Amino acid sequence: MQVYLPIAEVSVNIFLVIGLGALVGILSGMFGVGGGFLMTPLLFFIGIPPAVAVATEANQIVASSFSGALAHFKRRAVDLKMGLILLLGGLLGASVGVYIFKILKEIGQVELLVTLCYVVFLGIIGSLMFFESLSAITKRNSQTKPSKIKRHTWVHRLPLKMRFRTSNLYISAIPPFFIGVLVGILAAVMGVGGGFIMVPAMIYIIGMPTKVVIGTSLFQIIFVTAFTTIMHATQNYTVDAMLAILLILGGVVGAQVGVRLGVKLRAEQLRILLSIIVLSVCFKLALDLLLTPNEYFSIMVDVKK
Amino acid sequence: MKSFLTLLFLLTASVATVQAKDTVIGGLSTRNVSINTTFTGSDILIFGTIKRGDSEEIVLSDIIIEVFGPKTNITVRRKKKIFGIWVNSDPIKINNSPSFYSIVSTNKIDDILKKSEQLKSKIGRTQFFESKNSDSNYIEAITAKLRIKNKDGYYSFNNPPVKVKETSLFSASISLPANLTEGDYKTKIHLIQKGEVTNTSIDTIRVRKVGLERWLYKTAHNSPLFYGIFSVLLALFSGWGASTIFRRFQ
Repeated sequence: MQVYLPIAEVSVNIFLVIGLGALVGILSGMFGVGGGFLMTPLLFFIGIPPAVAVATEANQIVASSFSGALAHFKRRAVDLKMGLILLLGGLLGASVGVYIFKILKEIGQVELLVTLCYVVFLGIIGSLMFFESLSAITKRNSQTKPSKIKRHTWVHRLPLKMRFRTSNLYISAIPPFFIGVLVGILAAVMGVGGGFIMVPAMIYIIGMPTKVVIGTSLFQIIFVTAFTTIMHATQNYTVDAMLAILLILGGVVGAQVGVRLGVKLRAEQLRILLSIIVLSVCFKLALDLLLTPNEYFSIMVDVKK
Repeated sequence: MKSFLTLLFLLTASVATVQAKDTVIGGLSTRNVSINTTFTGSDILIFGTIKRGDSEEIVLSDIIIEVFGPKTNITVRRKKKIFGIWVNSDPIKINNSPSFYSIVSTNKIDDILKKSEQLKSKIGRTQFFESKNSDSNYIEAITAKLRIKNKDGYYSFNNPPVKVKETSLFSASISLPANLTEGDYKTKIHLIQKGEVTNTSIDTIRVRKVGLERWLYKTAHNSPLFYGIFSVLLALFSGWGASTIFRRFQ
């Protein structure tokens, strides 16, 4: 059954879209990742214009991160003060990101920017994850203790120090703010939540305790993606609410299935599987940039003023 | 057999000169196309009749039907290899380009309409090149536009011919693709006699988004802030709903 998407102005198979939502939902439930970095390229592959895919995916992440954050709020695993500083940075980053996006859209380079960002980030993250889980599998029997996180790094010498009671930290507000900015830019340009950057940064740079990291990052992601959605809607008119609802529908069901599947499988094997998926999406996008195209020309309808 | 005789008669009579004007009267199977949620394209039947003028002599007539989508300004870009990757460059603007174009005729256009007439009356492929700009890059961009639009089903030049019945009744089917641009689609029925356009009947098909599609599109463009907030609230509500429903089942 075909469904016409009013903003994307394309007709797509409704089951394909819900199915994609479910598939990415299963993966995000299994691996505890947001899934935006997989969903947005998959939307390109089924013919959704990149600008619409990015903005609509931001809208979908509002739903999935809110759903996830509710559970963490109940367990009080959210550092609100840290979350607010990450959020302030995120809002600034998202504004900058949407502005860059708008300019590049007008000069017809938005596809290039988005694809390049994806190739770079998926490539880095996919390979890191692949090699890390590979070594985890080989070293599993040789009982190496995880190296202790250094409590005093360059982060602790910066000014504007603040006390974060929930995280039990006394550090400068500058690093979390700039991590927020970076994540905000990525949210606006790539249509991702940015958890895959924020979570490691919170653990290794800020030194937050692991138990509050996920909840706090989800807290930031809800607001940054909500803001990004509104910015894209007002600046680029590229949020397709119909597409978003279909993706959310598939996503929530998939996520629940994924969580149950994830329990049954071993962590390292799961991560290898995810890294292979990430690397293959990266590879496909890279091919589009590198291979000689069949059609050298492309047409874009000018934005009505 | 009867129609064959009439045709024979027509052929012999076509030598005579035009004295009074024949006209063409056209009709459409529908004047409104609604894009709703399940819209997958639409076939429009264009039909009509050739009304003979005062003259007793009958001239051999041909029909050309054109359908134009709403005009848009587009930019054509060519991919170039920069630092090993293919990048869009050399933007060329083409203004007032119809988003959709379809042409169908009783016989091959070049056989029934003189080249000079095709240019003068802006019919067929030639109309897209009618421009003072004869820059080779511009011509190349237009050629690329026609090729891409043709491949994507927005432009069609090779349609099955217009069907003729009883020498003066004709009909043709034009298919509109699923991914249509909203707006007024102009239909032109040209009467062709002796290599020239002698009469044209113009009509309009209104293509509109309806219902939910219309509301979403209009709101997104007319009140984007409200639309953005609405989309976010919708997402928050579904996120909350999902977690509540699944907690019940656990």
